[in-house]
Amino acid sequence: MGINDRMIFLTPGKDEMYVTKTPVEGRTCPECGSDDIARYPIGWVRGPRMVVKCQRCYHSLEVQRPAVEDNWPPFRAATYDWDASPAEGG
Amino acid sequence: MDKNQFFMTAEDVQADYGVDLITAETLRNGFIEATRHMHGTLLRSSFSNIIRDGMDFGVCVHLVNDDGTTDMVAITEGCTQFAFTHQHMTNMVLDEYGLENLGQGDTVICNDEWRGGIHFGDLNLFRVIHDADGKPAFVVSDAAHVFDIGGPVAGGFNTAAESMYEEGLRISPTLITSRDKPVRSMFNLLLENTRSPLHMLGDVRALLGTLRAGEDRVRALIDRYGIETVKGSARYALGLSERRMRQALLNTPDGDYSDEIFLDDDGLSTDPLKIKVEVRIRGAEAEIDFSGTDPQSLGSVKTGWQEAARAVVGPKVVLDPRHPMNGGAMRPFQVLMPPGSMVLSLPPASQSNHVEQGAKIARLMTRVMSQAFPEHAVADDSGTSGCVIMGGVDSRPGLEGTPYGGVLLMGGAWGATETSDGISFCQSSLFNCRSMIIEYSEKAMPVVIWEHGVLVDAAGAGEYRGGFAASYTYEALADAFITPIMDSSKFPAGGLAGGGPASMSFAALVRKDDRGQVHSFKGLLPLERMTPLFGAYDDEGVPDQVDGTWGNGTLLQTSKPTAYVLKAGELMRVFSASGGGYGDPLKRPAETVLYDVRNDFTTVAQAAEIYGVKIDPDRLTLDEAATASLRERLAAERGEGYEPALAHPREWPRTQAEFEAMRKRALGAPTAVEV
Amino acid sequence: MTVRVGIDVGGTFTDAVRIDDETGEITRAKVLTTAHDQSEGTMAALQRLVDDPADVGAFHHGYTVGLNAALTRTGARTGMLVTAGHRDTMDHGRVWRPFDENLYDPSWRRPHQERPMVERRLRREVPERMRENGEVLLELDEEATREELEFLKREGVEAVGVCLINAYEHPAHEKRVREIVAEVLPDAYVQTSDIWPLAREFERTFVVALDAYTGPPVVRYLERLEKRLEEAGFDSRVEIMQMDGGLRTSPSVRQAPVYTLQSGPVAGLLGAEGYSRELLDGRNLVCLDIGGTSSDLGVIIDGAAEVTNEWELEHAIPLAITTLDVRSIGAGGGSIIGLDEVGSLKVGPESAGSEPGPACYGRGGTRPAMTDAYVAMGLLQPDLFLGGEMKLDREAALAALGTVAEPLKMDPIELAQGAYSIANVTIAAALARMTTHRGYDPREFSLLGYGAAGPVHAVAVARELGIDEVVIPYFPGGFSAYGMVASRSRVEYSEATMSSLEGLGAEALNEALRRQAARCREDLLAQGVPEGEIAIECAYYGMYTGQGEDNRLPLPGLDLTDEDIPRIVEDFHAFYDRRFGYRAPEIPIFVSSVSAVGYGRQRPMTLPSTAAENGDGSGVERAVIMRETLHVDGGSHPDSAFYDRNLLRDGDEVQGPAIIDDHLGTIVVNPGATARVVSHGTLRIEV
Repeated sequence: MGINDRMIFLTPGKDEMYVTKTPVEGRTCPECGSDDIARYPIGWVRGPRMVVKCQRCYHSLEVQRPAVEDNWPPFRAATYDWDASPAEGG
Repeated sequence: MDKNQFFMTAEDVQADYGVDLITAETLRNGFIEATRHMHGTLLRSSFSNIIRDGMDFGVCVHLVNDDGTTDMVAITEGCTQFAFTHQHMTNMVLDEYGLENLGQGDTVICNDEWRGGIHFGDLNLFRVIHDADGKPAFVVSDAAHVFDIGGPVAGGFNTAAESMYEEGLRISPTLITSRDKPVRSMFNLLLENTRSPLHMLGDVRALLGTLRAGEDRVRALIDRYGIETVKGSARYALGLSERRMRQALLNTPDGDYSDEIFLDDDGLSTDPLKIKVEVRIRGAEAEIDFSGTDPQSLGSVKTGWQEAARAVVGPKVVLDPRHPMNGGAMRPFQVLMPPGSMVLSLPPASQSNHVEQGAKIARLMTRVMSQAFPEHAVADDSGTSGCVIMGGVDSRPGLEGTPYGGVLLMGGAWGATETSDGISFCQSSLFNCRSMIIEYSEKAMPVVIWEHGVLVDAAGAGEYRGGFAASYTYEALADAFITPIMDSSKFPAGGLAGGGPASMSFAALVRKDDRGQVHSFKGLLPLERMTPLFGAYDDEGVPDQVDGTWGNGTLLQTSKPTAYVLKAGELMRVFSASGGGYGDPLKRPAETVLYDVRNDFTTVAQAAEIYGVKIDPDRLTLDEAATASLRERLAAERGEGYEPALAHPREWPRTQAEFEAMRKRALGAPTAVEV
Repeated sequence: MTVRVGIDVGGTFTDAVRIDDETGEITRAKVLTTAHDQSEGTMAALQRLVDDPADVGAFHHGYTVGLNAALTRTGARTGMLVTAGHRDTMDHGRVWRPFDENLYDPSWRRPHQERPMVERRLRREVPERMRENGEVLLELDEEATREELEFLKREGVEAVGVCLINAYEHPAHEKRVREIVAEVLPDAYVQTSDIWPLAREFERTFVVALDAYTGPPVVRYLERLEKRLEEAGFDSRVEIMQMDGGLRTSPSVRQAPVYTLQSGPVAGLLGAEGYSRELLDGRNLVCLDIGGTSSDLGVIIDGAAEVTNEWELEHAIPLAITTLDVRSIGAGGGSIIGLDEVGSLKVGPESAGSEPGPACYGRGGTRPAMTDAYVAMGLLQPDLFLGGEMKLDREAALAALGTVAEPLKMDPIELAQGAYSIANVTIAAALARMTTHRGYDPREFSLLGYGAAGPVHAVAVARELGIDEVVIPYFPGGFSAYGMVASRSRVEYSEATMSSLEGLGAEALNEALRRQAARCREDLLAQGVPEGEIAIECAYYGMYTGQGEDNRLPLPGLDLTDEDIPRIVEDFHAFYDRRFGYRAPEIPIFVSSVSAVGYGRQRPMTLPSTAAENGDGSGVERAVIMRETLHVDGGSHPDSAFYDRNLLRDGDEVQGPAIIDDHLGTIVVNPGATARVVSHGTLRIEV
């Protein structure tokens, strides 16, 4: 990943913006039994997460910390994975 | 309400939280008291007038969960947006910095909106409280807007900024105290990049002292009750808010509720900017999806991460307004934000003037939740902060060369509800700032504040009317840079359930007469003394919001100029928007309309045209029979899709003479000129 | 004429105390307040204490005439004259919402917007404008002023308030307006910025408006009272308790009646000051006065009650004059115990009042109140209430508590104990804001409990705060009247300085202080205080330059020298250090105003002499009147002793759990606490 990929972005050119919900295969909702499950990025009470959620009853099957490839949240500090120096308490 | 779903008995509390109900309630209030103490400390010890007068700050206590995340247990709001953003920001900042790296006496500072902050002018500080074993147990945090954080525009509101590089110092999560000793480099970074090191140092000290005071309060609770009991009670406090919100969602019919709203412009171009939201309620959960929102604007009216948190203000106001806010109330909501849109703009996007978008988010979310829960519906508020930033260099004897700055806050209005008129002189539900003392301001700044009052007729009509449009008229005594934080000049706010739309914001330059008098009565002044600045006007310069056109003959083509120069001796008057009405105006009790007229809130003309109430214009008495027949006639004349007229004054005196006649008529004296 | 009388009119009761300075005898009386005319109850109380009012040498008095008028919006029909453009000052509330349950509530509006004291119609604009430096931007338009006053005249106003922008420093226009008012409305009650000539137009407008609004009813009350007293043969001075803790003669109160708006709670603090001085070696005190509806809280530091200028009638209706800092919270004996929708337990602020009152009163009340909790816990015994005058119904109390306990799956007595605990914590939190939150150490305090229910909660609240001693005076009920008798004359005059301390220097400060001290002397002399008894103290309001909230701090005296300034500066920094946790020595100190306070003689506090001398040798058991189970502090304590206070003697020791019955009140000695009877019938309880 280049250092700029998640620090500096181009202004988007689209007319309207959407959040894409990616369908998840092979899972069933334990609350209502539906198989209409999707995974997508959310702002959650404790910050940015990916949710696996039943689209019928809205039960959240999983709330996951985003993986790097989820690009969520869009911005990510360049030093996010670095160790803290001793001066910073590391 | 279905009492049984989320009701907790004393046994439930013991079982779920390991604490008895009485102790849990005691400590729930103990956390709130700790934040009250922090609030008092920060208010009295800070320096920037935007903190001590404006109360643009927040102070919080958070619980550290076993997995290292945090939940905001209590807050005392100055500015209410912090009640929402600090829940997220504490998580994001500590996640990035590493909770394990923070020890006793360490404080982290951050102002970055992409880590959950608001704009660079808001400093956020975080301090961890460890238990006897050295494990992080609680966090105290505070936030305040500081006087100046660098960048090309003093005060930091650079609407015209096209990138964050033009806005001020951006601070990632950085250590500012290490074992209670100042980290010199971080202090220098702040002090050497601000126009007012005096204020900055004072404010940062106050913010740090406030966190220490908060830690003392929390430790006192821990010493008294024991760490496990205090943590269990914190979980109870969070759970209580969560249950209340879920209970309210359960009482709301499942469904998809959506609407869209427009910001006037971004200060650089005149194109309106659309924010759309759909709220999907299923049971005790809700999804808030901003898909369909416009891409991020060029000017700085957009935001970073914060709408993920701020969006919850709508559910708060409509579903559970009276319970103290904490992070538990945010648990039932998941927010979807398209990256690169107005609600999640991407670096290096500018965001210093996020404020008006916040006001629009609050209005939009309140509107959509009102759709979902009509019994608790609230009509649109003014959707603007109703304030003006003023700054420059003083030229008064003895003060020559001294830079100054301040916020002139006139306040907006809330919309009406099924049982009440909307409040006037109030900011959006997302903010809660306080206006400055005029007599102190006139000492501190080269300004004269000629007026702070409401505009007659400018309140959304209804059985219950919205709050009024308010205005400030101020004179610059030295050349001043004016940055209005204003919106709602193009699109009127709506009414509800038959209520009428609210008036829009507008502004004008004002001239005094030869005696040096600023003539104004009920907010009206002679048109010959007004020069349109922004808003809707007709060809004759009348601020006509029904038949006029936005931008017609106005000096500005935006409600958001940056650093507009008001020359010494010039006067500006800015009107905020008003709030929408609720219910049929023909149902407003005639005696109440009479009261409004007798108190100069409503004109005789509007009383008749919109409210159907006949009042003798000279004696100001009610003609009940004529009212009854007028109301009958107006009701019969209504067509399909009827909506009451937009409520704003239709008659403006053109000349000084007409103005005098109007004033004298109101006094009950005979008039020389027919008005 | 060695008899002094203090009469304090409260919400439900009028309390009265008589002290004979020669014999040291103290007697008290309590009658129901006569709301329609408080002077009736006042005279009734007086008649109970003295046969011949001519014997009374000093009459000290507090009333709630002004307060009631303000709260019920039944004050004088008042018009305001304000600078053109500032008609809405009384409604804008400085634009903010309070951070309580109303913060997000869309149906909330400010109290003055909902129920104005001065309607917008009667707030009239005067074309005039002064700059902050005294430059006249717009000359006073006298014709327009006259027109507005004619309007007010037609509207039938009885009082006029005048408050113009920057008039606190430049009063010329207000002076002229006052003259015109006298021409157009010669009989009107008039008040101007003279009453409080300090910056802050929002606060000052309300001082003026509240005085205009409540002044006329108070003046009429004083006239009625004086007439009744005269007819009864009284011929000495009537002195009225003010909110700043000082007395003022009745004629001089008429200059600014708003200073007497709510003086009852203040008087209690004066009694506490006296106790601290005379009986407790100057110990710091936390004061807890609990009545039926509310608790009044205060603090005595180094023998003096704390002062504040932040009193509020309701949100955004401030009264910014100097007052003793008494905070009122909605927790009292009548507080309703209830539940909200999700099981959250609430104690107050709603109150049961006296009709129907708590369930145990047997008047038809079904909702449980704190008094019902006391009964369920055994603290209040049905046969002992009010000396046996009124029997309480314990079954009704338990049944009412059951309506809340049952859904929670709690036992009614468990709920009672829980409600008691929540009330204690609520009161303790409010007291903590006045002490520990200001940097004071609770271990340096004792807690003084009074009022009808103060001694019920005193020990428990002390424990919450980490305070290790409770003091209960000889007659906790009616303590305010007692404090009133012990008070002294007080006047205060202030001047805005609005400048840095360095810029002012000792000389300018002295000049300002001397000017205000001279006004103090003149006022006290006019009230009949002998010259030799006058004492002057000085204070200033200061903050770091650039801040907005100033703080009241003492000045050494009237004759400051340059050598005094560094001491004043250092004290200022130390204050900030203790109160706010930092000092900023590089920032200049801004002095917004200076004040001179003039006092009359401090009367010695007469302490009650009780028939409590030892010598009987029979032991404390003689005082036991019954035994019963007490449910308190999370447990049950069978066979706990109830003592009659009148049968206790100096030196007696009572071990908790126990109740000491005072006939008019109840003192709870919690388990683990020990109460000792010390001189003058005072109880000192080691918690």
